[in-house]
Amino acid sequence: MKNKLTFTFFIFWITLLSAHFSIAQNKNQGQLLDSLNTTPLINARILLLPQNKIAVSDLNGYFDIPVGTELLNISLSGYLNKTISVKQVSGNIQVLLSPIKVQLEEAIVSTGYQDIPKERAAGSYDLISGKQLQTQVGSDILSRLETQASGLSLDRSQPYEPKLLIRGLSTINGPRSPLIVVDNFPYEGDLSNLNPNDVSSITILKDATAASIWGSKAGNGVIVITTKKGAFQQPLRVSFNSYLQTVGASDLTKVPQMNSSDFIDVEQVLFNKGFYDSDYNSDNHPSLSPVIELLYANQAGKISDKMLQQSLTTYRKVDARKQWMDKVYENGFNQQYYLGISGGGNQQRWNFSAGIDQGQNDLKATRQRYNFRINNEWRILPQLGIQWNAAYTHQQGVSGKDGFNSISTAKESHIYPYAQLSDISGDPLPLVANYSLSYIASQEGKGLLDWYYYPLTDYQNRTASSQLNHLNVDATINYRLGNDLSFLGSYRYENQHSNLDNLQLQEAYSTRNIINTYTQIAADGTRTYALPLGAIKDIGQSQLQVHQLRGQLNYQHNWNKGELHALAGAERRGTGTDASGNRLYGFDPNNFTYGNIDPLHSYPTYITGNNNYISDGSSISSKTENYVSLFANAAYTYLKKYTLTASARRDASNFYGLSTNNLWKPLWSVGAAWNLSDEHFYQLKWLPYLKIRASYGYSGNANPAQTAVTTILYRGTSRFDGFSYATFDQYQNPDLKWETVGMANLGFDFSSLNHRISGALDLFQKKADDLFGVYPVDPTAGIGTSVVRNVASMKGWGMDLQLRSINLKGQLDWQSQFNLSYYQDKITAYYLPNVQASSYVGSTQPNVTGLVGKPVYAVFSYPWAGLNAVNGDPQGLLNGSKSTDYNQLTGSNVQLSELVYHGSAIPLWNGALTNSFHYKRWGLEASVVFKLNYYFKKEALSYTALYNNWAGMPEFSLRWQKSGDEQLTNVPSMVYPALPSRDNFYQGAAIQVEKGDHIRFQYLNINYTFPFRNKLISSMQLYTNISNLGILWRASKAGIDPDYRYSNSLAPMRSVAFGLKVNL
Amino acid sequence: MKKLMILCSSLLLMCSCEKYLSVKPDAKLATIATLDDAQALLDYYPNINQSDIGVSEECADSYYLSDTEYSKRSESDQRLYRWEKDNLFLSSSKDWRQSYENIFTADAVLEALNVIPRNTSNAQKYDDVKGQALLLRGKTFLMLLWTWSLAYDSGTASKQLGVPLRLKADFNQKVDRSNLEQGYQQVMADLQQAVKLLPLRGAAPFRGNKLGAWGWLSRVCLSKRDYQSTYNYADSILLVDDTLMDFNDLNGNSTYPISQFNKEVKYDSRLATPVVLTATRAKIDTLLFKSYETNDLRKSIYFKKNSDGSYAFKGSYTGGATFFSGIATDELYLNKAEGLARNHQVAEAMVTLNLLLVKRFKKNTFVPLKGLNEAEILGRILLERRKELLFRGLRWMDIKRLNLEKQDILLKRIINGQVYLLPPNDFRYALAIPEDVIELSGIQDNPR
Repeated sequence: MKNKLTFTFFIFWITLLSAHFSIAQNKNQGQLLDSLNTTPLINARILLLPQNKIAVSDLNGYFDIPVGTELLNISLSGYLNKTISVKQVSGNIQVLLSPIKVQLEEAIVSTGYQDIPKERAAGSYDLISGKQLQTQVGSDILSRLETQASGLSLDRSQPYEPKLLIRGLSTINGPRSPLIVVDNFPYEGDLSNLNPNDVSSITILKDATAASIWGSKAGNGVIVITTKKGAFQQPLRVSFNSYLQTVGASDLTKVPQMNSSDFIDVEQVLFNKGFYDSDYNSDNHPSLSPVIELLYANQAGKISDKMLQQSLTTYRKVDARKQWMDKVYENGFNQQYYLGISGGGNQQRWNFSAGIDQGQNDLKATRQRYNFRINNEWRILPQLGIQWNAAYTHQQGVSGKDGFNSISTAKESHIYPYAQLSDISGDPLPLVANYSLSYIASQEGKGLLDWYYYPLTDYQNRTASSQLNHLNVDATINYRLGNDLSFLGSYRYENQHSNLDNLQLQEAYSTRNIINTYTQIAADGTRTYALPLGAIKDIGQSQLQVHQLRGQLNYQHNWNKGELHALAGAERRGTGTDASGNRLYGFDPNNFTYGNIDPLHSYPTYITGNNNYISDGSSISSKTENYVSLFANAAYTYLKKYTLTASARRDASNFYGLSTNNLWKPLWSVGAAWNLSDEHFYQLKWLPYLKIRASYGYSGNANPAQTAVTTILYRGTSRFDGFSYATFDQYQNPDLKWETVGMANLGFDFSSLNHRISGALDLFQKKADDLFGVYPVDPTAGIGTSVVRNVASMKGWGMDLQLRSINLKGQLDWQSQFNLSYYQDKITAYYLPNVQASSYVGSTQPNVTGLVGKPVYAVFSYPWAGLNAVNGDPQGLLNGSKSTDYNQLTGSNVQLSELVYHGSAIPLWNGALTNSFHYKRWGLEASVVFKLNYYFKKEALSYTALYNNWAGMPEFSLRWQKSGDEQLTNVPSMVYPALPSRDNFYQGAAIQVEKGDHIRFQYLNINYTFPFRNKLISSMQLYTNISNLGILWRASKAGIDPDYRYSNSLAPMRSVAFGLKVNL
Repeated sequence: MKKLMILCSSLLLMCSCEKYLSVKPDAKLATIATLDDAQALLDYYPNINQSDIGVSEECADSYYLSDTEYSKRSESDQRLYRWEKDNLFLSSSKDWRQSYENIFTADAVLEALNVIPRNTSNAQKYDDVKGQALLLRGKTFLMLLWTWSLAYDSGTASKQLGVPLRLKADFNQKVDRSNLEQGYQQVMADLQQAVKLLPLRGAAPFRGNKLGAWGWLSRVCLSKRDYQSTYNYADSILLVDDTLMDFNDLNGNSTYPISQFNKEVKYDSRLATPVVLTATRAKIDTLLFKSYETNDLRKSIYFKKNSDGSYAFKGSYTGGATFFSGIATDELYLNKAEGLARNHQVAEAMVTLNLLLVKRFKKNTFVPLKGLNEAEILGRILLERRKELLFRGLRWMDIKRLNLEKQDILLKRIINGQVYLLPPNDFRYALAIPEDVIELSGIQDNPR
């Protein structure tokens, strides 16, 4: 695959070079193109020197260059001025203009309710153009924001999908994700439906104005995505974009795994202690590792000592990770094709786009996405306009092979490090799954189905496929009621239907296992199957339907000195989700028949004889979320210098059993802006533009637990007697109040002469009260162990700095964008009863600290006093002296003051630096992101987990073994039996804490724009994008990638894409 | 114009706003508004019927652990096995928590019934639901008392600690421990009222019924050493239904020879079976196993021989690995017999015991007991009680009450050669209340 890649690379650049030399035309014409996306630029002013005449570029960016012209001085608003010499040039030339990354005068931010010139805005908005996003590749939008937006970060501190955070946390236990708005309405479908090529701009609403306009769902900020539209009086324009990306196969060597030889040594020790005897003798025949099976076989005299030693020697050399890397993983690829067509006349404008994305990951799982989008605006009458959108997305995916982390074993998905996938001749080998292999072997020939699990080939018998169809249609009517007043009515309908189909053929291990489990073999050999032979097919479907309706009045009036913009309206939004699932046993994929099971009677299981029920796998559910909201917003600008804004909103929802006074919640914000540089007393020549903004607002969060009555949830039907049963869902909790968050923002927008340096600085502070918390409740109360209460207050503050600079102009353009965000929070009140110090230490996943004066997520650890010189026990400090009393060290008597406090678990500093260079027809853009000042706890060896779950760590080989080792290592000696509290102490000790600071090379983009022109193609660009180039610097001494530090999360591999953009 | 438009648009949006906002967010949500809703809560068998307190059986003397097995158990289980005085439970341990969750369910149902009107058309169902809730509450309080209080003695009960008697479905209410006498009074009151309301037999074995309530009353009285009442309640059931399985009809070779919902079962419930007691770990006390006579069918029906020569239990009335703790006829024969014997009705006691035993021995091998004196028949009844009612959640209570009857049962564990003893009437017979409960509720722990 590597060779293939190199070859492609080679071809790519050869093509490029040959293109470079193929200019051979004789007309003196120039063409202006955008350097980023190579669209032709119209209406640019070109000063021809020495003639001192002006030329203007036409619809395709062309302009004539009269003979004798020596110098071109090109200017176009929004682009860097450019002067080039044409003295030496004969024939046609193409000139690439670099867009100015921030366009203060023209920038329009969209709140989803209105478009505001950024100049007049008092809130904190971050505007990202589609062009900026489109230098990256990939099928989704949000991951591209990390390098582009300030104040936005992807939190990867937990071992699941990264979470998008805007300005840190506003809540502890409430919802955290920002609201995503697409074309003026909240988007309820799957975000992966959106094609990044369709994006025209993204506005990020960071301060309180976001929540006050979008309501209670917007407390964590809003991301407003606006899709591409056509332009009035624009001729037909076609753009095409395509790339092929290869993604490297996952690097399993990063998965911490114990050395096979060490692991076998441990197994031998445990075997000699009789650790496995009860499992070996058990009628449940639980899984035993191959080495343990061999040791028992040897003990029983079934294999000789010599054979045992031979086998062990072989196993000692096996590395399971290498097996998977060699035999399972391979390079993946992604492909994208995108076509956009737009145009417009006097009364109409329209845009149509279609996209195909397809890919295959390193486990051969495939996915496809087809996008279609159409947008049309029609000005029927001077006072009446109508705009409509329709978008359809189809996605489908098919599962691939069994990855290293997705192997089903009985030991919490851990496998022994000497697991083998196939023998020398390549035939698949069985892996220990649910039962001991020797037991399975002993049952062979009795008439059961093969009971072995072959991870190398099992996937061939299983296909999980998913399909998703998403339809989104909306229409807006705009009617002018006079000079100042207009009415806007809009409606959107979304429908997302997804299907899951999971077919497990009879040959699949999972199917064979369950069929065997319910097989009974009589003394005469006759078999009865409680579960019919054949495949198992699971079918699931869910449907999401959203209706959104909005009525809005816009008022605008200009006086001599002032102008007022106001809007008021009401909206309702209903989201319904219906889902159902079904399972067919004994399914025959050839003729679509299936067998019957009896879910009402229990059947004896083969191994233990326990009676169990067969699940019929049916489910059905229906959920509804309804909102009604009223909103208003006004902005008054005086002398184009002073702006005052105010905004308010009330939301009501169908939260069940919510008391009426909790139903309607008012949210509001106020703001002011002052264009200081417009004042006559303003003298700073080097900073010709300076604006000061300030806003304050108040938002909140409701919780489903805020019920005025105790509610119950019907959970199903008893298999014993057919009665429906229910359990409590929410307990009457009359004291629970809304969470409230107040946020203040002070911002400065500035720009130096000629935009050489421009940017924005925002300082913010938020204060959140009555935050929901899981409050431990006395189990005697009868409602479990916890209840939601208003338990905490927190304060957060920070800064977002965005700097854009034009470092060089001329032949070589060099622009930089630097984003830097600081965010820190602390708990200001926490009303929880005394919690044990040990719960602050917790696991490797950061927990909510809940300690006044400390960050919401903080890292604590036990003080470490080295290993005991006599026995290698880990030592802590108890009352100032060394101790190995782990119950005391980790127990309830430990005071918080005795723990080591390291710092925040969430980076205090986040940022990105993107540099773009343009030289002649070449462009290069490189982006690095960094996270600074935070801590994490690395995974450490636990003997309990090693003995019981095969969960070894490579540091085992460094363990203390003899006196003196304590000078060299911190890894405790091996003890038997394992002491969980000793393991807990070691795992929570200060030595496990690492600094998370790091700088990551996110992507590199190189592009080349072809100089040719013909009647058909107006411009063409080739580009290469390399992503995930790895960590450039990290503070962690252990060499761990802090973003992918959990052993089950693999860092994304480097990917290389080659692409082509063409404009017609 | 402007006003008109606002009016129009708000009308457009707000019409049926009330209705729009009162749609259930989840079609499966409800409040306890009807008898069916209340019944649905009581029909959630995994909590209501399959979570009886199992920890006391873990402390009792029917089993032992091998040293290796012991070493693999959690620290709290090891401490329980050694009858330590504290730290016996992990935080939010199931037995205490689930018991009070069931009590909350019963309280919530009873409060909902106060609002739902009872009339001629629903009276039967209304009483049934109410009776089920009372039975649930009564039996749960009783199991809590058996586990976390000392044995009941009428002379001292009002001075000894009972358990918190939570009678309102309000989690904010603080409830302290009542005394043991109050605890037993509450149990009796709940169960006696349940008897009046419940139908003779329930619609399903998991539903509370009159026979089951009588059974629990018989148990309460036995643990109070009120033998006359023990007899009365047991006999009430047997008069209605005295069916016994004949163990000769069962197949001792099957994995679980006794089936679920068999004809002896009057009310089905099970213990939350502790991990320690699963058949692969817990080995049957050697002396106990030896006490079965050669022709006693329970030897093969109840036990399975392990490969190391020890025995494991397979005789649960649940037809599986979990332990039965409901009401079955065999126990009532034993309760009745003991009631009779303690009341000096020796001959009647002997007849009652013979009726049970003949069904437990190989056909035509059982020699009916005769000519025993009062002490002898009592001794035999107690022995048969231990042999018949293994892992029913009763043994711990039996040891406690019998030690008050001066039986001097001394419990002993040997772990890695070291001997641990639990002398009769030791304070540790009332287990330490889980530490997190003490910390969060501030209730008094048991004296140590």
